[in-house]
Amino acid sequence: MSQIVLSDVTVDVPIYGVSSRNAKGTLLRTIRRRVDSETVWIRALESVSLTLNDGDRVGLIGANGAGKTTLLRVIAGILSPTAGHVSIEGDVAAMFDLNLGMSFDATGRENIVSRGMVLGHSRAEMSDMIASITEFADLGDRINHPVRTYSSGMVARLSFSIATAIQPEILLLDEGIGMADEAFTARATARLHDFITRAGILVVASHSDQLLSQFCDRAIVLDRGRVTFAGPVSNAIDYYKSSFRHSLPEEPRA
Amino acid sequence: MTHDQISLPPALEAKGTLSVALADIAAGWGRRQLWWTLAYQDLIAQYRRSIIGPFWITLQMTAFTLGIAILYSALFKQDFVKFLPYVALGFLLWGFISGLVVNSTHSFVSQAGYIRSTSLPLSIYAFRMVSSQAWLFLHNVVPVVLLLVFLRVTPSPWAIVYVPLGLLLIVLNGFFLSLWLGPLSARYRDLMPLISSAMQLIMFVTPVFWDAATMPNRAVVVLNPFAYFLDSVRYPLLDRYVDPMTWVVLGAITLVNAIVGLYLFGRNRRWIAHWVA
Repeated sequence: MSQIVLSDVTVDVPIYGVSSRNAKGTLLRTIRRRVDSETVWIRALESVSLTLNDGDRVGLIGANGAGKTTLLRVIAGILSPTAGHVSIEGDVAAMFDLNLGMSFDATGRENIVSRGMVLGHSRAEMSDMIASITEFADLGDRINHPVRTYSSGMVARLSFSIATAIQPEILLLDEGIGMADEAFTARATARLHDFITRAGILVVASHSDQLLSQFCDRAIVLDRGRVTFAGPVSNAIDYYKSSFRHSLPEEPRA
Repeated sequence: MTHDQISLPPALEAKGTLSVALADIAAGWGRRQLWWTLAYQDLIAQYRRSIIGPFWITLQMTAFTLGIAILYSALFKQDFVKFLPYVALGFLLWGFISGLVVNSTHSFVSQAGYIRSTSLPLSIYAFRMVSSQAWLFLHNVVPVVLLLVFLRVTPSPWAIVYVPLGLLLIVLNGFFLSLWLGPLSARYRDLMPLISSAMQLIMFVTPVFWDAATMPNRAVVVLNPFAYFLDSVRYPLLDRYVDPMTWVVLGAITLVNAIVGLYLFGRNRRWIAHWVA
């Protein structure tokens, strides 16, 4: 049983200017009683409320800077809201950076263990998974070679296979998954579908209509930190496209 | 701008600053397999494809110790055999202590990638830094221990209690320092170079290479907290008298550092992901 409840979540992100990030600047301003006046606050999310339950597959749609990644980070527990309340039940796997914890000088085998531990699994759990991960990533004997000798496709296959080897209850994806060849994309897609049918919660931030309509049934459109639309994924994509077109400057007609 | 309603991630939903810090540290301790492995990776990553690997650290330590001992014993006309263990231990311990202090300023900034894309407990970055430094220290211990055995230095019988206790206090202080100085250095980026420069200066006013007994100005030694840490481990090994005051001072420093560390870590925890950006 997993659930995500956000009520009235607002996130303000501080942007520290050069002068406020050094101690001298702060000292000078403290003397002048103008502490932190040069810190700019950006409202990354404003009064976002949503409830996601088991089996929900939700896409996040929005322009760059609309708040998609911030929302994912709030759900993952990386950022705390400035105002509002967040309640998460179930273990969350945030796949924001698939190569995080990958040591390119270490072998694929060593990376399965260390990367798996970054994802929250134990050394023993990961050691048991080495064979099946190697097989899924189709790496064969290359698993014993340093990762720096891999092609970028092989790295992508390995990191995806590790990340999805043990299924979390809540899976967060940012900008989809960089996949290599078509054969592997098919298997990766099958694995994600398998995850969805096991009734977890999936939240995907993406610019790809294809990916969104393939994996999500609902979608949320974000615009400058606010939820402007929530509903079925196809309606959300249409809504986003039409609102996006309106905001573009009119093209001169030939 | 005021932030009245503060909401923490569910696992860390807690009333006070202190419980936020303690909950995170407990969760971080639960992940000890992870930070211990990452710390060892930090170490071997630098020496991959070299034949003797991290034992280069050991060799560098050996070379430096010998060099400084030869030079100083000639300069100060001290008995080489008596002076060598003193300098070797001094350099070994100073390396550990200053490594902990300097790296505590980097402990969070250098892990920005992890902090901003995983929800791991934030104390693991303090644990990771301390264990990286401990790995380095363990490699450096080897030549010094061999030297002490070779020169037949007899430690005081109390060394069996004092040495582990002194080392434990050094490690604990490194951890607590990292908890408060790490996030603050992410917020105020001048702290990293400032502290690294300060430690270079402090090395010269601390009895690392010179004997505290020969210093005419007692204040330099008595008011220097680093001198107490050094001597708590070095003196018992050289069968010198350790003033009981040393333990009182070390206990007080550790207590203050722990309170400051837990309080500031609990208070700043929710800002760390913003500060390291």
